Amino acid sequence: MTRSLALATVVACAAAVVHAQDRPVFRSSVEVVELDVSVTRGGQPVGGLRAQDFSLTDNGVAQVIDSVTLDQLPLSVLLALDTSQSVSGDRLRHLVDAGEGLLHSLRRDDRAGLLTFSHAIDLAVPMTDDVKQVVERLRNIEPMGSTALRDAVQIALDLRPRDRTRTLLLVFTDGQDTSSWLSASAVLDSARRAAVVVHIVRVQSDTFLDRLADVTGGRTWSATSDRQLRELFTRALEEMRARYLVTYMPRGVSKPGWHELRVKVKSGGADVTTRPGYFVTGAR
Amino acid sequence: MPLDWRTHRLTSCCALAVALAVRTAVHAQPFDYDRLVTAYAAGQLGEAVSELSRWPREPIRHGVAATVNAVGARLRAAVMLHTDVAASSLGSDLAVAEFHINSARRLLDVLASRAPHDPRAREFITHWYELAPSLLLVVRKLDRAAWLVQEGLDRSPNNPTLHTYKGIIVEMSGPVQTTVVARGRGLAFSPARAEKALEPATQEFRLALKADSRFALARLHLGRIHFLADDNRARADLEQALADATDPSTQYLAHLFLGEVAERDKRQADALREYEAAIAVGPRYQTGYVAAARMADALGESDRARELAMACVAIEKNEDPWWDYQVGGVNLPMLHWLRQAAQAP
Repeated sequence: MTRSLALATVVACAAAVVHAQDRPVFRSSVEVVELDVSVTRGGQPVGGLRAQDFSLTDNGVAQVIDSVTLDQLPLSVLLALDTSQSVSGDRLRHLVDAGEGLLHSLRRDDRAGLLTFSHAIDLAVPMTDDVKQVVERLRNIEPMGSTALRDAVQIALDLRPRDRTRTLLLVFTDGQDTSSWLSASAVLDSARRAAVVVHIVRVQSDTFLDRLADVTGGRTWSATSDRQLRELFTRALEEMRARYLVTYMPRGVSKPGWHELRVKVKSGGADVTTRPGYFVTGAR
Repeated sequence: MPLDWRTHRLTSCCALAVALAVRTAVHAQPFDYDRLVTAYAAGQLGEAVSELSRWPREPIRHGVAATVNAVGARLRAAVMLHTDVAASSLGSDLAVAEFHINSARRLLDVLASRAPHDPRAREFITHWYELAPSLLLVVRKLDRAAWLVQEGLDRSPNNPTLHTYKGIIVEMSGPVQTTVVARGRGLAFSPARAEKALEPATQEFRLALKADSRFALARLHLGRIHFLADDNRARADLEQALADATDPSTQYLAHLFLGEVAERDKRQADALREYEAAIAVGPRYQTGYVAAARMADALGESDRARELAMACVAIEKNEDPWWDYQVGGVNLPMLHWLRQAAQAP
């Protein structure tokens, strides 16, 4: 009875899987999995794909895809911006401009939030549909201090919305982590559990950030100059919009733990990017 | 925008006038070093430090030279006047800071030679060496800090604070990998290599504990090195540091590090309890919330993780002992003690 009720009332997506972990009735099973899937060919998004164009395995077991939709759910975009001492002068100006560009590209039903981090982490603006608030706060950023990148990503993941929107965490940093408590592996483990796509715009190469994008099915862009920031922020948003939402009910793979996913487009040699798996907590 | 322009011009004129006035004042008056020492001793720290920090070096050298004949109380005030100028210059001009630290050292030499058996003077000198290296550690002038620590140990052998500084300097200045181990946590580094690289630091912490077996800061650092070296003694060290600690910062760090040990031992619920204990000790420190949120996540308690993350971003974050642990921090209790001693008759 409890299970039927769950099936009837809950569309448990990958995000809801994480939700579901806290509710005993769902703990040992997953009803529905939703995946944000990017399909590109030659760097350009591929449109017009349907469920039958995809193949998907969950822990090696082929699954039946129930639906594939494009760009229907609103976005919740959390900007996590490095505001350490090094982000000042021209770089700060371009960063603010890039943030404004992205925010102005949001649609009416999208939401945005702003988290800034140096050694300290601040939720400058909680998730809101009042984008002006975010723009205003962006303009008042004061750079200072060192960089606690990993700690900030952890907090951003924990603050993700628990609703039906698609969440994009966009991280910008211009340097290396200098003051985090958390290790890279700890944060990557949290990222695997959270159904959040993390896109990254960075100035320096960083193994942790590359892995973070990988485990969340996101992408990384390298800025070769501060002037590129606006273009890259906008591209990150466009990339998210061009993603398919692939939905399936897992069959034959009910065990708790890590579920490895493989998603392919059956023909045409497209590049497919999505999270590499999801996590189901066992009953306690 | 004519109004803005006029306002700007007015401001500029005022600023220039002020600058001229200051310059006139400075030039009109002789460089009265004695007056600044008196002001500092009378508790006018800000004024005295601000004025002395603007002086050229030559009149300062003359002032220091003339003060060598002063009584102990004036010497203490002069030492701390220079020390405060050094502290205020660290972020902007290291050369100025070092000049004033050296001026303070010269006056300390006088104080030491004048009263070799005066316990009050000896205590002041010892405490000064327990403060000064911490100023240099904050700006990562590790060589200079090490030099001051050694000078302090020459004056006060077996001083646990100084041995602890010496160990911290090893943690901060070893080979790159050692620094990463001591300051960060992200990179793979074999426990055996960590143990070897940090052995000189371990020795210093042991010397500190030999001088004072309940010196919590040394025990804390030793425990963390044992953790990094995958040494089973880590937990006992950190529990002892927690038991011996009398200040919230050390207690907070001990809880954090004990949480880390529990994580490694796969005792996740214990780890979360330690991180929550760290929050209880330091509710205004961010890192306890970060560590606890991550642990709650790992336990599948995502709502609890969210609550902790919300609490983390809600607090006002001015300080965190974890930040100091990595990059050094000024020994504030000692700074306050010395300032008071400098104002005592």
